[in-house]
Amino acid sequence: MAVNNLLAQSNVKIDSNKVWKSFVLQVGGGFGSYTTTVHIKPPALSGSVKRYSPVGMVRLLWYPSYRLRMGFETGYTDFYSYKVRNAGKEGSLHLSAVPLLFVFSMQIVRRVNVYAGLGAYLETTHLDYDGSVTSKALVLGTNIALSYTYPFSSKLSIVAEAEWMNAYDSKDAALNLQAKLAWRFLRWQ
Amino acid sequence: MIIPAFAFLFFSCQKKYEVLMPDTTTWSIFNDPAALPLLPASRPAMEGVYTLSKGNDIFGDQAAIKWSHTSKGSDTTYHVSGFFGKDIAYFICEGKQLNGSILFNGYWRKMVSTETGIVHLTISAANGAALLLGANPVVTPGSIVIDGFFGNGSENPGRSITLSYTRKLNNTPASFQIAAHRSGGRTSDLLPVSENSVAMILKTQEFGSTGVEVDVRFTKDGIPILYHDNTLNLREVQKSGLVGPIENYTYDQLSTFVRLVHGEKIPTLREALDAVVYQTQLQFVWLDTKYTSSIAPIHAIQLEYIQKAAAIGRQLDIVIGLPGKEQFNQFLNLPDYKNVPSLCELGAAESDQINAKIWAPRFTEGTQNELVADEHLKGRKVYVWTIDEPAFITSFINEGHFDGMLSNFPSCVAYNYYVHQ
Repeated sequence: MAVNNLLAQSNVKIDSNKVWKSFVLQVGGGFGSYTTTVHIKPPALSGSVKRYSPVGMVRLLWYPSYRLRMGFETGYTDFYSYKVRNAGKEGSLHLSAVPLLFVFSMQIVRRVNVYAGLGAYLETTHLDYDGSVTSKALVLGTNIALSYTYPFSSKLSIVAEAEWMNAYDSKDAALNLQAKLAWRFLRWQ
Repeated sequence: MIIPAFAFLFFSCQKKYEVLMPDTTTWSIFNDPAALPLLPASRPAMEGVYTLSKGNDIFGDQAAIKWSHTSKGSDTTYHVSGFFGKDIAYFICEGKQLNGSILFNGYWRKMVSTETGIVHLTISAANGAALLLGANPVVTPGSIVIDGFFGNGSENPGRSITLSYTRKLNNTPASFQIAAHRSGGRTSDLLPVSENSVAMILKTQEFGSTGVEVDVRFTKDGIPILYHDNTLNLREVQKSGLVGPIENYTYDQLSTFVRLVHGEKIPTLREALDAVVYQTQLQFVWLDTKYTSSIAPIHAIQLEYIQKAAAIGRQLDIVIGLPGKEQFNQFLNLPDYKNVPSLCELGAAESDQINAKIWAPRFTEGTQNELVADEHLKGRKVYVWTIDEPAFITSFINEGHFDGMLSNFPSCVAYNYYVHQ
């Protein structure tokens, strides 16, 4: 009672509407840049590293009645690739990753959200040199992202996002710029 | 709270520990063109247990001093190592004689930390150099006094150290093996060379090792190589873009794309054994089978190198290590397996079954002196693995009756074995 009186005397507007809870699916893609050092070893191998590549992501978020949202993120990113020549042999190496991250999100100002995730990256080497090899490893990692959301309707929004992926176990990291469609496919009070 | 916590986790850096090898090339007296190699008799004569009267606050009260050497063709390189009782400290130096004195130049290191630095030591003519450089030196307590200085990092050494000869090195049991893990030491212990490399095999005698345990795996094309972990990872190799199990790649692929942490190639088992046989004085090789397929290819290489060692007059034991039941069962498939030199990490009964040359119980089983005595009666040696805690190393050497000990810190085992009375 004392709280309600206090609020009534203040300028705080009491919102009597119930808060909507929902699930939101974000799907998008963009462009990624590998940000950590690539040394082609040994240096005698000639080649140039390709650090830029398209990326894609899917993120499922639960918007509860409180501000902290949480969910799961996956997708696909090419970390880097390079071609080599060594003693007359040619080949190529290509490292990609699928993030498998639990993410938390929070709106910090209107339409602007931050994301932080913790989990793993399923890294895959595609090596074509002296035969072809595809080899996978699961490494621990995190991500952090900042997004701007522009709503089209109560269900659909378009999102621009900058995300930094960090597979810290393997010292692989990438900065991704993406456009996404956010679909509030389920909501309830 | 959670977002900042994640941001902190994301942006915070792991503390990077490193040991920068000090520059040991700057001691002008040691670099004097008139400085000559030591006489062959001088080196073994000065080996012994020394008492520290200065520097003991840093290194402890005693040191075991021992020489080792490696060969490449007609070139032989000698190093003198001092193993201390405090903080798994050691020094490794080269020696020369100049104007009747003996000089030692090198570095010291503590394995419990990243502390290291330059060490300059001298035996003056009056303090034993005249004796050591004479014909047939006979050393008695107090007849050698080593004086010198040590410093931190690459700074000019300024702190005093004095060591006085006390007694001969312990050699009981005479065949005791100081076996170093991962071909001589772990990369994670910030050593100057990588684990399971040829460079480590050539270095490990300086740490006191008389034998090595090497980790054997197979590449996709069936080449036995040395590598410890299941997968390529940054603990063992530099970033290359190759991930996943090492068995997924051919030797040519690994040799082309992958380098160990300090830049060495992943060696083949043959390259490793070539180094052991032709370049070191190591007496024992433990082929730790990190795979579960046939033992036969390893056995063929084992026989080949036992014969090569014998052909040049080397006493070298090469045993196939059997860490688990799967390897044990594969071993039983070898024809005449009872005559194949092996080391069994399973029980004494399994060691009996295959007539293992060595039984190797885990240190957590304790000293097991009665069981060890039983195995000795059967003519079997007993090595204990893998002990890294200095207090355990001390008690297992003082209270146990083992014939060998596997450790990541061979310098600690060496100290405890050589000073044991």
